[in-house]
Amino acid sequence: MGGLIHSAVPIRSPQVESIDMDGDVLLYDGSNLRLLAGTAAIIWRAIDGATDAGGIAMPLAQASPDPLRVSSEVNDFLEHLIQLGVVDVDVDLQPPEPAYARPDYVGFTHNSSALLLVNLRDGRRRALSATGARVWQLVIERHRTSLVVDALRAEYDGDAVALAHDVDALLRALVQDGFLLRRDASTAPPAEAPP
Amino acid sequence: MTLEAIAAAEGQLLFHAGAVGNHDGRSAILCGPSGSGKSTLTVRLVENGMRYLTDETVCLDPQSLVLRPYRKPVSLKPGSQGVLQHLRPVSAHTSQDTWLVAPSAIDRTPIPSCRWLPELLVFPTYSRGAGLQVQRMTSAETAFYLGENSSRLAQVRGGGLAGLARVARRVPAFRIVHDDLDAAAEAVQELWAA
Repeated sequence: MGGLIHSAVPIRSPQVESIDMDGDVLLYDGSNLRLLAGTAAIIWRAIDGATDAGGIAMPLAQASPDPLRVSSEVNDFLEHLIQLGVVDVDVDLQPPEPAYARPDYVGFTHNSSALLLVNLRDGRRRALSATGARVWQLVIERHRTSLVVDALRAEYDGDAVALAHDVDALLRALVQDGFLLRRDASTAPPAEAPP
Repeated sequence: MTLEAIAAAEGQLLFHAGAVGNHDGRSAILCGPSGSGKSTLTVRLVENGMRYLTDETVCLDPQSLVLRPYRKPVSLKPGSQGVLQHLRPVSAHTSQDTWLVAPSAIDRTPIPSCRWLPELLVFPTYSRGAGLQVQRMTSAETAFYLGENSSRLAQVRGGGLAGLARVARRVPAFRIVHDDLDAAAEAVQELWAA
């Protein structure tokens, strides 16, 4: 999957000094001096070694009428900072991706226009469009968001960040509605949707 | 710079700049890359009554910000010689030569013995047809452009970034774009008097 994934945690490079000046930020790595102003300064201040790329983008995206564009731009800027050498991505800090699985009590069937999911425990149903159906098929085969997105990028044109955002949102909704189980980084059993 | 001056500059903030002062220790720094017109403006301010402190390199203590005067010959490039013809050295052979003008030709009076502290920072740019534009700079911009015009920043005592920030927070800075030397000098003097 190209680009910085949402769950990647950027960290400030240890050799970089930074100083806040009236809302802007100056960076110095011993050779180059850089000035970050406005949104760039906000993004830099959000790089705290614990917040992932998605978490850094979220408040900016939510404040914008075009959140997907803003998320993409934040992602691009983080990658730019990585290329400049002032930010690293510490793979040891990256949380393992959650894994999704279809519960035994969820069935599905195709009709002419959609995929219909049925929760046999409580009778809930959900129809998925053609794209949603493809996501469903991929997630029960591959279980992880990044693998689903990788496959979709080969099938659909579009921004990788926006695609990951949409897939993540659908999978979370399916977990919430009881059609998918989610296993997080711990070894605990997959979280089930509330009754 | 002489060996003594170089040794004295160890750990100091060094800017590509000229500096002028008044009679009681207040100074103005004119900072910019080669060709910006800072030397020309330095000379004109001295001709207008300021004291010549230095050209080419300004040396500031990173903690106290005390400026170390160092009078050296002023380098006047062909582009600025037209307005300072009276300073043409006898040794200048062609109109393409850079003039090295002796400090005594600019300011015969000795440098007053006092602590020189910067009160004004100016980033001049000569630009034909630009008129006169004076713009106050933010402290972040000031620190950044000082850094862009500094040398040996990594060797500054207490940290180069901290030193730049200290200057930028204490000294008001202005960007002056001009196409007339006298107008620029007047603008500097007005800013200083404000």
